[in-house]
Amino acid sequence: MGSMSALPQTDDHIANENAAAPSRRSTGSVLKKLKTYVQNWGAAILIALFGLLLWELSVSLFDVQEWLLPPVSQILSELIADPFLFIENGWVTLREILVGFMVSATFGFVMATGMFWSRLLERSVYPFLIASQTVPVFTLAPLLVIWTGTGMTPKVVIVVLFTFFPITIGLMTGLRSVDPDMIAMFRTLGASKWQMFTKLHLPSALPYLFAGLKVAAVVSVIGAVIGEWIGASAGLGWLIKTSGSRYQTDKVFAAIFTLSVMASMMFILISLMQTRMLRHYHQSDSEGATN
Amino acid sequence: MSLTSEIPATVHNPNGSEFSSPEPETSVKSQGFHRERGKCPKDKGGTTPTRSGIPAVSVRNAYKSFPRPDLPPVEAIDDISLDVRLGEFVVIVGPSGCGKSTLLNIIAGLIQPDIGSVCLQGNGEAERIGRVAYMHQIDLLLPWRNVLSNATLGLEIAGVPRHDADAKATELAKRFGIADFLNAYPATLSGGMRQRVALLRAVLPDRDVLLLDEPFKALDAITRAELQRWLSDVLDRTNRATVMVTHDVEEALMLGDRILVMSPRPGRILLELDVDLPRPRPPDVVREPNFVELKWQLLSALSGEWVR
Repeated sequence: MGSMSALPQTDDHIANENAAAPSRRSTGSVLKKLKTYVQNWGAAILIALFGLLLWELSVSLFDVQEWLLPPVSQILSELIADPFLFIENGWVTLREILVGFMVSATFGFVMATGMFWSRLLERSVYPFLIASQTVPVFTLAPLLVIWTGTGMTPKVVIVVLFTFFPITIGLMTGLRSVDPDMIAMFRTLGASKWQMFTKLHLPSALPYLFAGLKVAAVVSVIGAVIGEWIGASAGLGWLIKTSGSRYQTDKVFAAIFTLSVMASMMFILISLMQTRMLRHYHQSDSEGATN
Repeated sequence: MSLTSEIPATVHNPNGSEFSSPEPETSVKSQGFHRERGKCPKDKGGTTPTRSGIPAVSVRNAYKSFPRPDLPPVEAIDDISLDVRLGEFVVIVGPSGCGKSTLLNIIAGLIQPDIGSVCLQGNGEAERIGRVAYMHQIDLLLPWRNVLSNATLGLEIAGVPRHDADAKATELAKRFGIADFLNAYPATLSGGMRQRVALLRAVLPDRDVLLLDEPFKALDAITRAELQRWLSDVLDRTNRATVMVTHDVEEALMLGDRILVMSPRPGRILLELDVDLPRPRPPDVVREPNFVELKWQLLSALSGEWVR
């Protein structure tokens, strides 16, 4: 499926970037970069193309009814015939996702740093954070529609419910998992707790935070779609639901495709940020003996 | 003086678990120290065995044990006393796990002794943490900072303006042999280079006391020998009291003015040796009769304890 092909092999990517550390921009390095991309992405793209081809061929070969499973070509022509339908509804969904994501990131940051600074806050809040994840969000959706209407709000709330948890837990874990020797070193330099937080804990937590953000990026799409499922007048989730009930399977697939492209783009965007910000994090473990 | 001085000054347990310090009688057993028990040396003359005023560091009868669940506590060091003056390079030699690092951690103020006290410049009350430079076995460089900003971390924490800190670090980096790497990131440096940066970071804030905890342990033999020579060249010892811990007898003799031999756990001081080898000590100093004799004394002190 589309979403599979879009998952980048981030770790290899970072390693390769590091290997070519002080790179001068020349045609040689551009070619090299191209080669790296092909190495990283080529296999996945080939598999995706092969899968789509198999789909296309088997639909015509076994003479599958269109409303059951449309051929890939028809899904594509659906996308091309009315791109604005998908762009407009995609924008509605994307806005819900982005707003929810921002709220989650802010909330997660405040929560995680709060719990880092105050054990009391952690003890009183942490159980409820866990509990919030045990509630099936799908069952909350109708309530949210009743309480906040069919506008943007319930979708944002559901996106937040889906995404704040990985962000909060990722950041909190990162803040807590600092090497005790590093803490000792900072203490001997006379660092205050605040200095230690900004100069040691926060930068150390970034890789964990990014892991959380990546998970959140992917599940945020699910959250928005669930929100639109229950009650909406626009959005890709709404489009899938209405088209499905009219047996417009090609539209359903086109909308799913748009959704997975959106989720993949978010994932890739965060991965790129991660690669940029964590450029130097990867130590060569050959020397750094830990003892 | 008074009996109260033998009561543990500070019983502090960073783990926060219940732990009562052992009875003073049990550990105040070894005798023969001419120093006043548990008291900071005062600059009144007579009582302190120093040549030039107050020692920069003085440890008095330090005892430390660590609690273990369901087992008797590990006694790390027992009744250790030690004076280090400014300008002096003291090396503590001992087998692995003899509590050498515990002793350094106590001097640095990272942990407190169960019994005994530590004084910096004759002051046993003030907080030690942040007043002692400490270099660990592993470089502990921050991977997200380049060499320059790793080196200036201590100055940055002390609130030195960025420009001044950078200038100071750049100046010293030349002598440290890392001037060409200031913009490099730790991941691209060799182990030896990283230790140089770590030492630069430790000495930049200009502390009176420098602690070195087996600084070359993680390095290969060739790099280690190179860095030993480098260290004795690069360290301006005149204004600093240095305490280094190692298990390498030759390293101790190459660098130290005075060597203390520690026993296995619980660490006690077995032997105190003045190293009267002239400086600088070239690599072939190892062939000099004086060196060989001192090395033999150290080894027999260490092995005598191992055999027992």
